[in-house]
Amino acid sequence: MTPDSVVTTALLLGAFVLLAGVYGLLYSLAVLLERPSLKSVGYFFYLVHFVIMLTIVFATPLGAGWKVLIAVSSIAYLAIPPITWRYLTRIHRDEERLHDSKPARRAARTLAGMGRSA
Amino acid sequence: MYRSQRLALKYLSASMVLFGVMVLFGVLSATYYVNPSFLLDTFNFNTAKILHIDTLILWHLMGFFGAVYWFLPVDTGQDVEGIALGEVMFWIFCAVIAVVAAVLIFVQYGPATEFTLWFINQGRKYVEAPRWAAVAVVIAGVVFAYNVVATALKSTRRSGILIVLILDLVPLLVLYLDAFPSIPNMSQDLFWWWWLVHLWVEATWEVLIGCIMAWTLMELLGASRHVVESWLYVEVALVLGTGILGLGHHYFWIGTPRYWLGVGGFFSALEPLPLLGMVIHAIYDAGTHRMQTGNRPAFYWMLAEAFGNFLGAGVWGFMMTLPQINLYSHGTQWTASHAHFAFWGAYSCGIVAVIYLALEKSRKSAGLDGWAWKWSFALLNLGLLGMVGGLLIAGMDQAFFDRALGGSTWSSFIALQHRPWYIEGMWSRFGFGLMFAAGYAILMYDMLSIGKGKQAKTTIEPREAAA
Repeated sequence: MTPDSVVTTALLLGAFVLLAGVYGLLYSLAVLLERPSLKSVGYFFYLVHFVIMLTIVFATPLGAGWKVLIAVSSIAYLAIPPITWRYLTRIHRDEERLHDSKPARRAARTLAGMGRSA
Repeated sequence: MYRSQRLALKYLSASMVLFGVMVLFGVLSATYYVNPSFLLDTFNFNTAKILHIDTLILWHLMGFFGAVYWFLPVDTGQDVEGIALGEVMFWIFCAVIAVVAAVLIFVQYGPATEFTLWFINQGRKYVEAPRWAAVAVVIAGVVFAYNVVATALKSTRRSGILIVLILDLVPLLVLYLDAFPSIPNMSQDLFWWWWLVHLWVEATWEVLIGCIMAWTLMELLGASRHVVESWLYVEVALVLGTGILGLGHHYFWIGTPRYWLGVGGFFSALEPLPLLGMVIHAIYDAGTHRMQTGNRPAFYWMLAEAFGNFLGAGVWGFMMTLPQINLYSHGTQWTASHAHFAFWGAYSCGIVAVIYLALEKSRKSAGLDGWAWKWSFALLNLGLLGMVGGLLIAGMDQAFFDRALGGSTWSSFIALQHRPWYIEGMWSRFGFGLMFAAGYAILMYDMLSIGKGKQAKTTIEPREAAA
């Protein structure tokens, strides 16, 4: 490695993870706020992340094994936000279903319904 | 309030005092970099640095103990078993820290004898405290573990969080025993020493803070136990999966076999992945609860934890973790930049969040808010960002000129001290360090005053009673 490539490669590696984070953040906010435009901006940041990954793979003196690892982890970064979000939604939904099935909760709803009809 | 929670408040208060000592000696250490003759022959740089990094470990440890003593009775529905012993241990722990600090300040170092190892300084980074004090830390840890395990055994409620915590106590205690040996072979000594430093920080402490944050989520946002436990298991598996063998990134250049380059690099490269999951989780929780909570300081500090962990450990760590980069960055100011950011994000923010939560409950306050926590939050986080930015620039300059161009010679190291980027980086760290210290002062003011005049309603209002 040359002195220049040490610094350049390190900055590219930092940007690689940072942009994946920005994509994850925007993806989550888009789902949360139900704003598809934010998701598009998120995908744009992922695209920049992907370009950086290609730059690392084709233009830095890192070993071949590390380049493969970085390319594979780039795909993982794409998948983590939707998978995590789905998992979190599912465990919350399961919990609500479990909670709703409790007799006390059913009784409370019945009482509330009676109150409304009265 | 449980008796254990009163002990928790003592531990949390002590941890904040030690936080202040850490900041004080951090600013002092930063001063030496911009004015190398400062306190020459009076107070050595290495002593200031020892006090800075040892109090870093101790304030976090005391914060963790305090957090567990706070949540444990809530989780088990009963006061902590053997709490009297825990209370005695707290005062012994404080006395030990005071004596060690006095010895390090006034004696500083001694001849290379067994006496020095036992009574002055062990000379091993992060665990410089003399051996008698290390024995006291082990005893404090054993008493803490006894409190947790005995309470779990006595209680009929044993949550998943508590079981994960108990399992984590085993490596937490066993790994600290690495503070004792002094092996003459430096490679062997460092090999085992990293088990303590890395595995404590990137494995056992990660699990510990995971448990504490799970309890915090339940208390702060009313999150369901099933949900936080499910997530805790996933998080623990991922963090341990990448963190344990991520240990290898410390083994690159200490004389260990070559395969550590591959093992350490591979697992370290995976470490940012679960951290991104934590960021998504934080956004999910913030969104689910629509940022609505009576305790905004605790909530914002908890969010800062998720983002700080990702940036400090994930982004900053990945920049320098692959062996080809690490060859030049290892042990430079670049490493210091990563260490500052990662510690802050992974642990410090979480402890501050727990303290705000404990303050709300202990003062029976109807929510916490005000100007001071916002100022301290901004100054501490901006101060930290400025410090790590300055250190990063200085560190990259160091890696470029001293390591890669200069070949890491003594003359290149000296030449580096006159490089403009290095000097400016050090001044930047000093200036932002002062900003951080100002943030700490406001944080202390806020913690001493917040919620005191805003009691929650505990009696029936006359209008309600009449109705």
